Amino acid sequence: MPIPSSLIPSRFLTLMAHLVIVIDIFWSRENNVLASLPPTYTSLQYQNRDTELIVALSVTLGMFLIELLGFFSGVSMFNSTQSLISIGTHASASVTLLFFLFEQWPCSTYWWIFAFCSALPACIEIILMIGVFGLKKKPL
Amino acid sequence: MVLRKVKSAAVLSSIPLQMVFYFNVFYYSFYFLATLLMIIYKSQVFSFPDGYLAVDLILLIFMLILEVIRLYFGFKGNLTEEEVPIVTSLVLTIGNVMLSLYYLLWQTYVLKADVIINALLLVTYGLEGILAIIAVSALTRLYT
Repeated sequence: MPIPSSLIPSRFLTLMAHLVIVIDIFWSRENNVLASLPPTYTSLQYQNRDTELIVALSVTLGMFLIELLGFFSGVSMFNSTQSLISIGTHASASVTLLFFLFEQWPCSTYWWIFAFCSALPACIEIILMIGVFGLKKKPL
Repeated sequence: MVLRKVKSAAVLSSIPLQMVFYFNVFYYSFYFLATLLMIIYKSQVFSFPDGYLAVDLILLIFMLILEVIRLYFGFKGNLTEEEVPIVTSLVLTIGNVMLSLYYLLWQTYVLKADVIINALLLVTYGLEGILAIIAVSALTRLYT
């Protein structure tokens, strides 16, 4: 059994940091919605943008759930490749989302961050879960 | 008649409890740094009434000491399969829950990020409490 390296705590911490920032953006998403609207906007346009950002954030939380399930159940906890990918994507997501929040980037940029930093680790996690539970491989 | 503990061949240490304790060490380091930095930020941006800044900082250091003792007892109790340290760590967890509630609700200035990290910490404490009770009940079941 491999000794606990420092990959596991790093992965946990970057996951937690990303999660905290996503919940924070969920809470204070007004500024980002306003930044992606023209100077004169209708209430309907605001609603559309707001809904778009809510959907993006909710899907991000869903991806988080998948990855946390895979991590804590042990499926990918000791898999170094997945740990490295996860650490890299979540760390860069944390920094980028900090800019997203403080510099008030428009909502369309969020989809890019989501694609690279939330969807990618979750997809690899799903592949690993299928491998362990479906094809009965060892989770390492 | 002396109650003697039966040596069991099965492993009674709770793995989920050990996992939560292990991750708690790292999450608490992150929490302590984040709260300290946020208090420093608040002291620059907002104005604190007399004495409240000192209260916040002292309670944070007190929470750190409690957390270290609690996690040490929790690790030790779970790995040596003794109930006394685990129960001690449970009692200390109640103190830490109170302190976390302070930072969540009654602090001088509560930011959104404060609420989120305290909520996560309370979830961790709740999990630890439940798992510790299950572990203690598994350990004490073998008394003859």
